[in-house]
Amino acid sequence: MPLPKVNYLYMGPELVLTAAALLLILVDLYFWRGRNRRLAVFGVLALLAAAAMTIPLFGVRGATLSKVMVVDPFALFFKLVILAAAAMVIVLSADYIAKHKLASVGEYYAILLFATIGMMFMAATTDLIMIYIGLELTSISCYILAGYHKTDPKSNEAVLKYFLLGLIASALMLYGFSFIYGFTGQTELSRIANALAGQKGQLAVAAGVLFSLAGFAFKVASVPFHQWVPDVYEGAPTPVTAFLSVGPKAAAFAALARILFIGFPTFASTWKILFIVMAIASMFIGNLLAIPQTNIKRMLAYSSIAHAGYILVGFAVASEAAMAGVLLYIAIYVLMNIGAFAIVLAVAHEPGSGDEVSNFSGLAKRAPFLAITMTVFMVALAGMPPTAGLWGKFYIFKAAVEKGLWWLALLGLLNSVISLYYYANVIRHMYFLEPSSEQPLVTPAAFKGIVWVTVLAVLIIGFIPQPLIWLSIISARGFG
Amino acid sequence: MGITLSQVLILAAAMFSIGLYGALTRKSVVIVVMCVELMFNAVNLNLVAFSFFTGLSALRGQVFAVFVMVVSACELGLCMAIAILLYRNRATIEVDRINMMKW
Repeated sequence: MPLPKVNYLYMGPELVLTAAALLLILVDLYFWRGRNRRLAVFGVLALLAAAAMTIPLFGVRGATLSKVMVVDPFALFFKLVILAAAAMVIVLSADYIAKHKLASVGEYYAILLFATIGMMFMAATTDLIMIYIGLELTSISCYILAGYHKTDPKSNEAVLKYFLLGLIASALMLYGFSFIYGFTGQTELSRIANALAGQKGQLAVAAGVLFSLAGFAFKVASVPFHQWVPDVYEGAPTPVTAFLSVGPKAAAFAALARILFIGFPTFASTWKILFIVMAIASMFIGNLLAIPQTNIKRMLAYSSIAHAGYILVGFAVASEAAMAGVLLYIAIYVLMNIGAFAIVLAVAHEPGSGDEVSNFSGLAKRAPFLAITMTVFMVALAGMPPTAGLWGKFYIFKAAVEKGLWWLALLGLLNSVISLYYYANVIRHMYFLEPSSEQPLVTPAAFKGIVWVTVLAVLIIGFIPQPLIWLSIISARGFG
Repeated sequence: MGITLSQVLILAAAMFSIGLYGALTRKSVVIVVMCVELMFNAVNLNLVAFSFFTGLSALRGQVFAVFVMVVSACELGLCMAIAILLYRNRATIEVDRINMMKW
Protein backbone atom coordinates (compact mmCIF):
# COMPACT_ATOMS: atom_id res chain seq x y z
CA MET A 1 0.00 0.00 0.00
CA PRO A 2 1.53 3.36 -0.98
CA LEU A 3 1.94 5.90 1.79
CA PRO A 4 -0.22 9.01 1.40
CA LYS A 5 1.49 12.16 0.19
CA VAL A 6 1.89 14.74 2.91
CA ASN A 7 1.57 18.44 2.23
CA TYR A 8 3.69 19.89 5.02
CA LEU A 9 2.67 23.45 4.18
CA TYR A 10 -0.93 22.68 5.15
CA MET A 11 0.05 21.49 8.59
CA GLY A 12 2.84 24.02 9.06
CA PRO A 13 1.27 25.84 12.01
CA GLU A 14 0.75 22.60 13.94
CA LEU A 15 4.29 21.40 13.19
CA VAL A 16 5.78 24.70 14.38
CA LEU A 17 3.76 24.58 17.59
CA THR A 18 4.67 20.95 18.29
CA ALA A 19 8.35 21.72 17.84
CA ALA A 20 8.05 24.82 20.02
CA ALA A 21 6.24 22.96 22.78
CA LEU A 22 8.88 20.23 22.91
CA LEU A 23 11.65 22.84 22.81
CA LEU A 24 10.03 24.73 25.69
CA ILE A 25 10.30 21.65 27.91
CA LEU A 26 13.95 21.10 26.95
CA VAL A 27 14.92 24.75 27.26
CA ASP A 28 13.26 24.94 30.66
CA LEU A 29 15.16 21.84 31.72
CA TYR A 30 18.65 22.89 30.61
CA PHE A 31 18.99 26.62 29.95
CA TRP A 32 16.24 28.82 31.28
CA ARG A 33 15.36 26.96 34.47
CA GLY A 34 12.26 28.70 35.81
CA ARG A 35 12.88 31.87 33.74
CA ASN A 36 9.19 32.61 33.66
CA ARG A 37 9.12 35.67 31.38
CA ARG A 38 11.57 34.36 28.79
CA LEU A 39 9.62 31.13 28.49
CA ALA A 40 6.37 33.08 28.12
CA VAL A 41 7.87 35.23 25.35
CA PHE A 42 9.06 32.05 23.62
CA GLY A 43 5.54 30.61 23.76
CA VAL A 44 3.95 33.79 22.41
CA LEU A 45 6.50 33.96 19.58
CA ALA A 46 5.71 30.35 18.62
CA LEU A 47 2.00 31.16 18.51
CA LEU A 48 2.65 34.27 16.40
CA ALA A 49 4.78 32.19 14.01
CA ALA A 50 1.95 29.67 13.71
CA ALA A 51 -0.51 32.49 13.02
CA ALA A 52 1.84 33.91 10.38
CA MET A 53 1.84 30.51 8.67
CA THR A 54 -1.95 30.23 8.92
CA ILE A 55 -2.89 33.55 7.32
CA PRO A 56 -1.32 32.91 3.85
CA LEU A 57 -3.39 29.71 3.59
CA PHE A 58 -6.63 31.71 3.26
CA GLY A 59 -8.09 31.10 -0.16
CA VAL A 60 -6.77 27.54 -0.27
CA ARG A 61 -9.23 24.66 -0.16
CA GLY A 62 -7.47 21.34 0.16
CA ALA A 63 -6.68 18.41 2.35
CA THR A 64 -3.72 16.27 3.25
CA LEU A 65 -3.05 12.97 5.07
CA SER A 66 -6.19 11.45 3.46
CA LYS A 67 -8.41 14.24 4.78
CA VAL A 68 -7.17 14.02 8.35
CA MET A 69 -6.04 17.61 7.90
CA VAL A 70 -8.36 19.89 5.96
CA VAL A 71 -7.51 23.42 4.91
CA ASP A 72 -10.52 25.65 4.28
CA PRO A 73 -11.56 29.11 5.50
CA PHE A 74 -13.68 27.55 8.25
CA ALA A 75 -10.67 25.76 9.77
CA LEU A 76 -8.39 28.77 9.34
CA PHE A 77 -10.90 31.11 10.99
CA PHE A 78 -11.04 28.90 14.07
CA LYS A 79 -7.28 28.40 14.09
CA LEU A 80 -6.68 32.14 14.17
CA VAL A 81 -9.23 32.63 16.95
CA ILE A 82 -7.67 29.83 19.00
CA LEU A 83 -4.11 31.06 18.42
CA ALA A 84 -5.07 34.58 19.47
CA ALA A 85 -6.75 33.27 22.61
CA ALA A 86 -3.75 31.12 23.52
CA ALA A 87 -1.29 33.99 22.98
CA MET A 88 -3.31 36.34 25.20
CA VAL A 89 -3.62 33.66 27.89
CA ILE A 90 0.16 33.11 27.92
CA VAL A 91 0.71 36.86 28.38
CA LEU A 92 -1.78 36.83 31.26
CA SER A 93 -0.21 33.71 32.81
CA ALA A 94 3.30 35.12 33.33
CA ASP A 95 2.38 37.50 36.16
CA TYR A 96 -0.03 35.02 37.74
CA ILE A 97 2.69 32.36 37.84
CA ALA A 98 5.16 34.83 39.32
CA LYS A 99 2.69 35.87 42.02
CA HIS A 100 1.64 32.36 43.04
CA LYS A 101 5.11 30.84 42.53
CA LEU A 102 3.84 27.89 40.49
CA ALA A 103 6.42 25.18 39.86
CA SER A 104 7.62 23.82 36.47
CA VAL A 105 6.88 26.91 34.42
CA GLY A 106 8.18 25.60 31.10
CA GLU A 107 5.82 22.64 31.24
CA TYR A 108 2.89 24.97 31.90
CA TYR A 109 3.50 26.86 28.66
CA ALA A 110 4.27 23.65 26.78
CA ILE A 111 1.00 22.06 27.92
CA LEU A 112 -0.86 25.20 26.90
CA LEU A 113 0.68 24.87 23.43
CA PHE A 114 -0.29 21.18 23.27
CA ALA A 115 -3.87 22.10 24.13
CA THR A 116 -3.75 24.68 21.33
CA ILE A 117 -2.52 22.06 18.85
CA GLY A 118 -5.35 19.73 19.86
CA MET A 119 -7.92 22.48 19.29
CA MET A 120 -6.45 23.36 15.90
CA PHE A 121 -6.75 19.73 14.83
CA MET A 122 -10.34 19.59 16.07
CA ALA A 123 -11.21 22.59 13.91
CA ALA A 124 -9.39 21.26 10.85
CA THR A 125 -10.23 17.59 10.51
CA THR A 126 -13.09 15.65 8.98
CA ASP A 127 -12.12 12.25 10.33
CA LEU A 128 -13.75 10.86 13.45
CA ILE A 129 -10.52 9.28 14.67
CA MET A 130 -8.67 12.59 14.40
CA ILE A 131 -11.55 14.49 16.01
CA TYR A 132 -11.23 12.11 18.94
CA ILE A 133 -7.44 12.48 19.17
CA GLY A 134 -7.66 16.28 18.93
CA LEU A 135 -10.37 16.39 21.56
CA GLU A 136 -8.39 14.20 23.95
CA LEU A 137 -5.15 16.14 23.38
CA THR A 138 -7.09 19.27 24.29
CA SER A 139 -8.90 17.70 27.23
CA ILE A 140 -5.89 16.01 28.86
CA SER A 141 -3.88 19.22 28.57
CA CYS A 142 -6.76 21.23 30.03
CA TYR A 143 -7.17 18.80 32.95
CA ILE A 144 -3.51 19.28 33.84
CA LEU A 145 -3.75 23.07 33.50
CA ALA A 146 -6.86 23.23 35.71
CA GLY A 147 -4.92 21.49 38.49
CA TYR A 148 -1.71 23.41 38.00
CA HIS A 149 -2.00 25.26 41.31
CA LYS A 150 -0.95 22.10 43.14
CA THR A 151 -0.99 23.50 46.68
CA ASP A 152 -4.42 25.10 46.33
CA PRO A 153 -7.16 22.68 47.48
CA LYS A 154 -9.68 24.39 45.22
CA SER A 155 -7.49 23.75 42.19
CA ASN A 156 -7.16 20.09 43.25
CA GLU A 157 -10.90 19.82 43.44
CA ALA A 158 -11.32 21.51 40.07
CA VAL A 159 -9.02 19.06 38.30
CA LEU A 160 -10.71 16.05 39.93
CA LYS A 161 -14.21 17.13 38.91
CA TYR A 162 -13.15 18.15 35.43
CA PHE A 163 -11.20 14.92 34.90
CA LEU A 164 -13.85 12.43 36.07
CA LEU A 165 -16.76 14.10 34.30
CA GLY A 166 -14.64 14.67 31.20
CA LEU A 167 -13.73 10.98 31.08
CA ILE A 168 -17.37 9.90 31.25
CA ALA A 169 -18.30 12.42 28.56
CA SER A 170 -15.58 11.20 26.21
CA ALA A 171 -16.60 7.57 26.83
CA LEU A 172 -20.17 8.48 25.81
CA MET A 173 -18.88 10.25 22.73
CA LEU A 174 -16.70 7.30 21.74
CA TYR A 175 -19.57 4.88 22.14
CA GLY A 176 -21.47 7.05 19.69
CA PHE A 177 -18.53 7.12 17.28
CA SER A 178 -18.31 3.32 17.38
CA PHE A 179 -21.93 3.06 16.20
CA ILE A 180 -21.41 5.66 13.49
CA TYR A 181 -18.41 3.68 12.24
CA GLY A 182 -20.17 0.33 12.59
CA PHE A 183 -23.25 1.21 10.57
CA THR A 184 -21.52 3.19 7.83
CA GLY A 185 -18.13 1.45 7.70
CA GLN A 186 -16.42 4.83 7.44
CA THR A 187 -14.76 7.32 9.74
CA GLU A 188 -14.35 10.16 7.26
CA LEU A 189 -17.33 12.52 7.46
CA SER A 190 -18.11 13.09 3.76
CA ARG A 191 -17.89 9.32 3.13
CA ILE A 192 -20.22 8.76 6.08
CA ALA A 193 -22.68 11.13 4.41
CA ASN A 194 -22.36 9.19 1.14
CA ALA A 195 -22.79 5.83 2.86
CA LEU A 196 -25.86 7.09 4.68
CA ALA A 197 -27.66 8.43 1.61
CA GLY A 198 -30.56 6.07 0.99
CA GLN A 199 -29.38 3.34 3.32
CA LYS A 200 -30.93 1.48 6.23
CA GLY A 201 -29.69 1.58 9.80
CA GLN A 202 -30.34 5.32 10.04
CA LEU A 203 -31.79 4.92 13.52
CA ALA A 204 -28.65 3.26 14.93
CA VAL A 205 -26.55 6.01 13.40
CA ALA A 206 -28.85 8.66 14.87
CA ALA A 207 -28.33 7.02 18.27
CA GLY A 208 -24.59 7.23 17.65
CA VAL A 209 -24.83 10.94 16.82
CA LEU A 210 -26.90 11.51 19.97
CA PHE A 211 -24.24 9.82 22.11
CA SER A 212 -21.49 11.91 20.57
CA LEU A 213 -23.62 15.03 20.97
CA ALA A 214 -23.52 14.35 24.73
CA GLY A 215 -19.73 14.46 24.63
CA PHE A 216 -19.72 17.73 22.73
CA ALA A 217 -22.36 19.27 24.98
CA PHE A 218 -19.94 18.61 27.84
CA LYS A 219 -17.08 20.32 26.02
CA VAL A 220 -19.07 23.41 25.04
CA ALA A 221 -20.54 23.63 28.56
CA SER A 222 -24.17 23.41 27.56
CA VAL A 223 -27.11 22.19 29.65
CA PRO A 224 -27.60 19.31 30.63
CA PHE A 225 -23.85 18.67 30.86
CA HIS A 226 -22.93 21.93 32.57
CA GLN A 227 -22.53 20.99 36.25
CA TRP A 228 -18.74 20.86 36.09
CA VAL A 229 -18.39 24.40 34.72
CA PRO A 230 -18.78 26.62 37.81
CA ASP A 231 -16.59 24.43 40.04
CA VAL A 232 -13.81 24.06 37.49
CA TYR A 233 -13.87 27.74 36.52
CA GLU A 234 -13.74 28.80 40.16
CA GLY A 235 -11.00 26.39 41.20
CA ALA A 236 -8.68 26.57 38.20
CA PRO A 237 -5.94 29.22 38.08
CA THR A 238 -7.57 32.36 36.60
CA PRO A 239 -5.57 32.48 33.31
CA VAL A 240 -6.50 28.83 32.77
CA THR A 241 -10.14 29.69 33.43
CA ALA A 242 -9.92 32.36 30.75
CA PHE A 243 -8.47 29.73 28.39
CA LEU A 244 -11.07 27.07 29.25
CA SER A 245 -13.93 29.50 28.74
CA VAL A 246 -12.96 30.25 25.15
CA GLY A 247 -10.56 27.70 23.62
CA PRO A 248 -12.09 24.24 24.08
CA LYS A 249 -15.52 25.76 23.57
CA ALA A 250 -14.62 27.26 20.19
CA ALA A 251 -12.88 24.07 19.03
CA ALA A 252 -15.75 21.84 20.14
CA PHE A 253 -18.27 24.03 18.31
CA ALA A 254 -16.10 23.78 15.19
CA ALA A 255 -15.91 19.98 15.36
CA LEU A 256 -19.64 19.74 16.13
CA ALA A 257 -20.46 21.89 13.10
CA ARG A 258 -18.37 19.65 10.87
CA ILE A 259 -19.93 16.45 12.20
CA LEU A 260 -23.47 17.78 11.89
CA PHE A 261 -23.31 19.61 8.59
CA ILE A 262 -20.84 17.45 6.65
CA GLY A 263 -21.39 13.98 8.12
CA PHE A 264 -25.11 14.15 8.87
CA PRO A 265 -26.67 16.93 6.78
CA THR A 266 -30.22 15.87 7.66
CA PHE A 267 -29.64 15.37 11.38
CA ALA A 268 -29.83 19.02 12.46
CA SER A 269 -33.19 19.58 10.76
CA THR A 270 -34.68 16.25 11.93
CA TRP A 271 -33.57 16.79 15.53
CA LYS A 272 -34.09 20.55 15.55
CA ILE A 273 -36.15 20.30 18.74
CA LEU A 274 -33.12 18.88 20.57
CA PHE A 275 -30.96 21.90 19.79
CA ILE A 276 -33.80 24.29 20.59
CA VAL A 277 -34.29 22.70 24.01
CA MET A 278 -30.53 22.72 24.72
CA ALA A 279 -30.26 26.36 23.66
CA ILE A 280 -33.22 27.55 25.74
CA ALA A 281 -32.18 25.53 28.81
CA SER A 282 -28.57 26.76 28.60
CA MET A 283 -29.60 30.39 28.24
CA PHE A 284 -32.07 30.34 31.11
CA ILE A 285 -30.12 28.16 33.55
CA GLY A 286 -26.88 30.01 32.85
CA ASN A 287 -28.33 33.48 33.25
CA LEU A 288 -30.62 32.76 36.20
CA LEU A 289 -27.96 30.94 38.21
CA ALA A 290 -25.40 33.67 37.48
CA ILE A 291 -27.52 36.21 39.37
CA PRO A 292 -26.95 34.96 42.96
CA GLN A 293 -23.19 34.37 42.53
CA THR A 294 -20.75 36.29 44.72
CA ASN A 295 -17.57 34.94 43.16
CA ILE A 296 -16.85 36.65 39.86
CA LYS A 297 -15.20 33.60 38.26
CA ARG A 298 -18.29 31.57 39.13
CA MET A 299 -20.53 34.30 37.74
CA LEU A 300 -18.56 34.33 34.49
CA ALA A 301 -18.80 30.51 34.44
CA TYR A 302 -22.60 30.65 34.49
CA SER A 303 -22.50 33.44 31.93
CA SER A 304 -20.37 31.20 29.70
CA ILE A 305 -23.08 28.50 29.92
CA ALA A 306 -25.58 31.13 28.77
CA HIS A 307 -23.29 32.14 25.90
CA ALA A 308 -23.11 28.50 24.80
CA GLY A 309 -26.90 28.69 24.70
CA TYR A 310 -26.88 31.72 22.39
CA ILE A 311 -24.45 29.92 20.08
CA LEU A 312 -26.64 26.79 20.11
CA VAL A 313 -29.50 28.94 18.79
CA GLY A 314 -27.38 29.15 15.64
CA PHE A 315 -27.16 25.35 15.50
CA ALA A 316 -30.92 25.05 15.97
CA VAL A 317 -31.48 27.39 13.03
CA ALA A 318 -28.89 25.45 10.98
CA SER A 319 -28.67 27.80 8.00
CA GLU A 320 -25.55 29.19 6.40
CA ALA A 321 -26.36 32.67 7.72
CA ALA A 322 -26.76 31.27 11.22
CA MET A 323 -23.36 29.57 11.03
CA ALA A 324 -21.79 32.85 9.93
CA GLY A 325 -23.38 34.38 13.03
CA VAL A 326 -21.94 31.57 15.14
CA LEU A 327 -18.42 32.21 13.86
CA LEU A 328 -18.81 35.95 14.41
CA TYR A 329 -20.14 35.32 17.91
CA ILE A 330 -17.28 33.00 18.88
CA ALA A 331 -14.59 35.43 17.67
CA ILE A 332 -16.17 38.34 19.57
CA TYR A 333 -16.84 36.21 22.65
CA VAL A 334 -13.14 35.29 22.83
CA LEU A 335 -12.15 38.97 22.84
CA MET A 336 -14.63 40.18 25.44
CA ASN A 337 -14.27 37.21 27.76
CA ILE A 338 -10.47 37.27 27.83
CA GLY A 339 -10.63 41.02 28.43
CA ALA A 340 -12.98 40.52 31.38
CA PHE A 341 -10.75 37.82 32.84
CA ALA A 342 -7.69 40.07 32.43
CA ILE A 343 -9.41 42.59 34.72
CA VAL A 344 -10.41 39.87 37.19
CA LEU A 345 -6.70 38.91 37.27
CA ALA A 346 -5.63 42.53 37.71
CA VAL A 347 -7.99 43.03 40.66
CA ALA A 348 -6.98 39.76 42.31
CA HIS A 349 -3.29 40.52 41.78
CA GLU A 350 -3.16 42.81 44.81
CA PRO A 351 -2.13 41.00 48.02
CA GLY A 352 -5.16 40.25 50.17
CA SER A 353 -7.60 40.64 47.29
CA GLY A 354 -9.53 37.79 45.69
CA ASP A 355 -12.03 36.69 43.07
CA GLU A 356 -15.14 37.99 44.84
CA VAL A 357 -17.44 40.53 43.22
CA SER A 358 -17.01 42.60 46.41
CA ASN A 359 -13.31 42.99 45.54
CA PHE A 360 -14.51 45.23 42.70
CA SER A 361 -16.11 47.70 45.15
CA GLY A 362 -15.01 51.24 44.47
CA LEU A 363 -12.68 50.22 41.69
CA ALA A 364 -13.54 53.41 39.82
CA LYS A 365 -11.71 55.43 42.47
CA ARG A 366 -8.68 53.16 42.71
CA ALA A 367 -8.20 52.21 39.06
CA PRO A 368 -10.37 54.31 36.72
CA PHE A 369 -8.97 52.65 33.59
CA LEU A 370 -9.85 49.13 34.76
CA ALA A 371 -13.30 50.26 35.88
CA ILE A 372 -14.19 51.86 32.56
CA THR A 373 -12.87 48.94 30.52
CA MET A 374 -14.66 46.40 32.74
CA THR A 375 -17.84 48.40 32.06
CA VAL A 376 -17.20 48.04 28.33
CA PHE A 377 -16.73 44.25 28.66
CA MET A 378 -19.83 43.82 30.83
CA VAL A 379 -21.90 45.82 28.35
CA ALA A 380 -20.41 43.77 25.49
CA LEU A 381 -21.14 40.45 27.21
CA ALA A 382 -24.74 41.58 27.68
CA GLY A 383 -24.83 42.25 23.93
CA MET A 384 -25.52 45.97 24.04
CA PRO A 385 -24.39 48.65 21.55
CA PRO A 386 -21.97 50.29 20.85
CA THR A 387 -19.78 47.24 21.50
CA ALA A 388 -18.99 44.20 19.37
CA GLY A 389 -21.15 42.00 21.61
CA LEU A 390 -24.21 43.36 19.83
CA TRP A 391 -23.25 42.04 16.39
CA GLY A 392 -22.76 38.40 17.37
CA LYS A 393 -26.22 38.21 18.92
CA PHE A 394 -27.77 40.31 16.15
CA TYR A 395 -26.63 37.99 13.35
CA ILE A 396 -27.62 34.76 15.13
CA PHE A 397 -31.06 36.11 16.06
CA LYS A 398 -31.56 37.60 12.60
CA ALA A 399 -30.92 34.17 11.05
CA ALA A 400 -33.41 32.66 13.52
CA VAL A 401 -36.10 35.15 12.50
CA GLU A 402 -35.44 34.47 8.81
CA LYS A 403 -36.05 30.76 9.41
CA GLY A 404 -39.32 31.39 11.25
CA LEU A 405 -37.88 30.83 14.73
CA TRP A 406 -38.74 34.37 15.81
CA TRP A 407 -39.89 33.18 19.23
CA LEU A 408 -36.46 31.63 19.85
CA ALA A 409 -34.84 34.96 18.97
CA LEU A 410 -37.29 36.65 21.35
CA LEU A 411 -36.28 34.28 24.18
CA GLY A 412 -32.65 35.09 23.39
CA LEU A 413 -33.37 38.81 23.68
CA LEU A 414 -35.19 38.24 26.96
CA ASN A 415 -32.08 36.45 28.23
CA SER A 416 -29.86 39.35 27.21
CA VAL A 417 -31.98 41.52 29.43
CA ILE A 418 -31.74 39.04 32.33
CA SER A 419 -27.98 38.89 31.92
CA LEU A 420 -27.78 42.68 32.09
CA TYR A 421 -28.86 42.39 35.73
CA TYR A 422 -25.76 40.59 36.97
CA TYR A 423 -23.37 42.32 34.59
CA ALA A 424 -24.69 45.68 35.80
CA ASN A 425 -24.18 44.50 39.39
CA VAL A 426 -20.42 44.49 38.75
CA ILE A 427 -20.66 48.02 37.36
CA ARG A 428 -22.66 49.05 40.44
CA HIS A 429 -19.92 47.66 42.69
CA MET A 430 -17.23 49.55 40.80
CA TYR A 431 -18.94 52.93 40.68
CA PHE A 432 -21.37 53.21 43.56
CA LEU A 433 -19.79 51.31 46.45
CA GLU A 434 -16.95 52.44 48.68
CA PRO A 435 -13.51 50.87 48.21
CA SER A 436 -11.93 48.95 51.08
CA SER A 437 -8.72 50.96 50.70
CA GLU A 438 -7.99 54.32 49.08
CA GLN A 439 -4.64 53.38 47.56
CA PRO A 440 -4.51 53.19 43.76
CA LEU A 441 -4.37 49.66 42.41
CA VAL A 442 -1.01 48.66 40.93
CA THR A 443 -1.51 46.68 37.72
CA PRO A 444 1.27 44.81 35.88
CA ALA A 445 1.91 46.07 32.36
CA ALA A 446 1.02 42.70 30.80
CA PHE A 447 -2.55 42.81 32.17
CA LYS A 448 -2.94 46.40 31.02
CA GLY A 449 -1.66 45.50 27.56
CA ILE A 450 -4.19 42.69 27.13
CA VAL A 451 -6.97 44.93 28.41
CA TRP A 452 -5.99 47.60 25.87
CA VAL A 453 -5.88 45.12 22.99
CA THR A 454 -9.22 43.51 23.81
CA VAL A 455 -11.08 46.72 24.63
CA LEU A 456 -9.90 48.38 21.43
CA ALA A 457 -10.90 45.30 19.43
CA VAL A 458 -14.34 45.15 21.08
CA LEU A 459 -14.99 48.84 20.41
CA ILE A 460 -13.57 48.93 16.88
CA ILE A 461 -15.55 45.84 15.86
CA GLY A 462 -18.55 47.46 17.52
CA PHE A 463 -18.32 50.49 15.23
CA ILE A 464 -16.86 48.84 12.08
CA PRO A 465 -18.07 45.23 12.10
CA GLN A 466 -18.04 44.78 8.30
CA PRO A 467 -14.59 43.15 7.85
CA LEU A 468 -15.19 40.51 10.53
CA ILE A 469 -18.74 39.85 9.28
CA TRP A 470 -17.40 39.42 5.75
CA LEU A 471 -14.75 37.00 7.00
CA SER A 472 -17.25 34.91 8.94
CA ILE A 473 -19.67 34.76 6.01
CA ILE A 474 -16.86 33.48 3.76
CA SER A 475 -15.71 30.99 6.39
CA ALA A 476 -19.18 29.60 7.01
CA ARG A 477 -19.80 28.88 3.32
CA GLY A 478 -20.87 25.27 2.86
CA PHE A 479 -22.11 24.86 6.42
CA GLY A 480 -25.75 24.77 7.44
CA MET B 1 -18.29 -19.78 14.70
CA GLY B 2 -21.46 -19.52 16.70
CA ILE B 3 -20.88 -15.93 17.74
CA THR B 4 -22.76 -13.22 15.87
CA LEU B 5 -22.31 -9.48 15.67
CA SER B 6 -25.40 -8.75 17.73
CA GLN B 7 -24.20 -10.97 20.57
CA VAL B 8 -20.96 -9.03 20.77
CA LEU B 9 -22.83 -5.73 20.63
CA ILE B 10 -25.06 -6.81 23.51
CA LEU B 11 -22.00 -7.81 25.54
CA ALA B 12 -20.41 -4.43 24.82
CA ALA B 13 -23.60 -2.59 25.75
CA ALA B 14 -23.72 -4.52 29.04
CA MET B 15 -20.08 -3.66 29.76
CA PHE B 16 -20.76 -0.02 28.93
CA SER B 17 -23.78 0.13 31.23
CA ILE B 18 -21.98 -1.58 34.11
CA GLY B 19 -19.08 0.85 33.70
CA LEU B 20 -21.40 3.86 33.63
CA TYR B 21 -23.27 2.62 36.70
CA GLY B 22 -20.04 2.09 38.58
CA ALA B 23 -18.60 5.45 37.53
CA LEU B 24 -21.67 7.23 38.85
CA THR B 25 -22.03 5.34 42.14
CA ARG B 26 -18.52 4.46 43.38
CA LYS B 27 -16.67 6.74 45.78
CA SER B 28 -12.97 6.06 45.31
CA VAL B 29 -11.36 8.02 42.47
CA VAL B 30 -9.38 4.98 41.37
CA ILE B 31 -12.42 2.71 41.15
CA VAL B 32 -14.38 5.37 39.27
CA VAL B 33 -11.60 5.52 36.69
CA MET B 34 -11.52 1.72 36.49
CA CYS B 35 -15.23 1.80 35.68
CA VAL B 36 -14.63 4.41 32.97
CA GLU B 37 -11.95 2.11 31.55
CA LEU B 38 -14.63 -0.56 31.33
CA MET B 39 -16.67 1.86 29.23
CA PHE B 40 -13.69 2.49 26.97
CA ASN B 41 -13.17 -1.25 26.58
CA ALA B 42 -16.80 -1.66 25.62
CA VAL B 43 -16.15 0.87 22.87
CA ASN B 44 -13.07 -1.06 21.75
CA LEU B 45 -15.05 -4.29 21.64
CA ASN B 46 -17.68 -2.52 19.51
CA LEU B 47 -15.09 -1.17 17.10
CA VAL B 48 -13.26 -4.44 16.70
CA ALA B 49 -16.48 -6.43 16.34
CA PHE B 50 -17.81 -4.09 13.67
CA SER B 51 -14.61 -4.23 11.67
CA PHE B 52 -14.39 -8.04 12.03
CA PHE B 53 -17.97 -8.86 11.12
CA THR B 54 -18.78 -6.28 8.47
CA GLY B 55 -15.41 -6.21 6.71
CA LEU B 56 -16.08 -2.69 5.43
CA SER B 57 -12.73 -0.85 5.36
CA ALA B 58 -11.91 -3.18 8.21
CA LEU B 59 -8.62 -1.64 9.26
CA ARG B 60 -10.20 1.62 10.35
CA GLY B 61 -11.99 0.04 13.29
CA GLN B 62 -8.88 -1.78 14.46
CA VAL B 63 -6.77 1.37 14.19
CA PHE B 64 -9.42 3.38 16.02
CA ALA B 65 -9.34 0.81 18.84
CA VAL B 66 -5.55 1.13 19.12
CA PHE B 67 -5.86 4.91 19.37
CA VAL B 68 -8.49 4.57 22.08
CA MET B 69 -6.18 2.29 24.06
CA VAL B 70 -3.27 4.73 23.82
CA VAL B 71 -5.37 7.67 24.94
CA SER B 72 -6.90 5.77 27.84
CA ALA B 73 -3.40 4.79 28.97
CA CYS B 74 -2.53 8.51 29.12
CA GLU B 75 -5.68 9.18 31.09
CA LEU B 76 -4.84 6.42 33.57
CA GLY B 77 -1.45 8.02 34.15
CA LEU B 78 -3.13 11.34 34.80
CA CYS B 79 -5.61 9.65 37.14
CA MET B 80 -2.78 8.32 39.31
CA ALA B 81 -1.15 11.76 39.41
CA ILE B 82 -4.42 13.36 40.52
CA ALA B 83 -5.06 10.67 43.13
CA ILE B 84 -1.58 11.18 44.63
CA LEU B 85 -2.03 14.97 44.60
CA LEU B 86 -5.37 14.70 46.40
CA TYR B 87 -4.06 12.23 48.93
CA ARG B 88 -1.16 14.54 49.79
CA ASN B 89 -3.34 17.61 50.26
CA ARG B 90 -6.53 16.16 51.67
CA ALA B 91 -5.55 12.66 52.90
CA THR B 92 -8.55 11.19 51.08
CA ILE B 93 -9.41 10.12 47.55
CA GLU B 94 -13.12 9.69 48.12
CA VAL B 95 -15.09 11.66 45.59
CA ASP B 96 -17.90 12.74 47.90
CA ARG B 97 -15.52 14.21 50.49
CA ILE B 98 -14.01 16.56 47.92
CA ASN B 99 -16.80 19.10 48.05
CA MET B 100 -15.47 22.55 48.92
CA MET B 101 -17.30 24.18 46.05
CA LYS B 102 -21.05 23.87 45.65
CA TRP B 103 -23.51 25.83 43.55
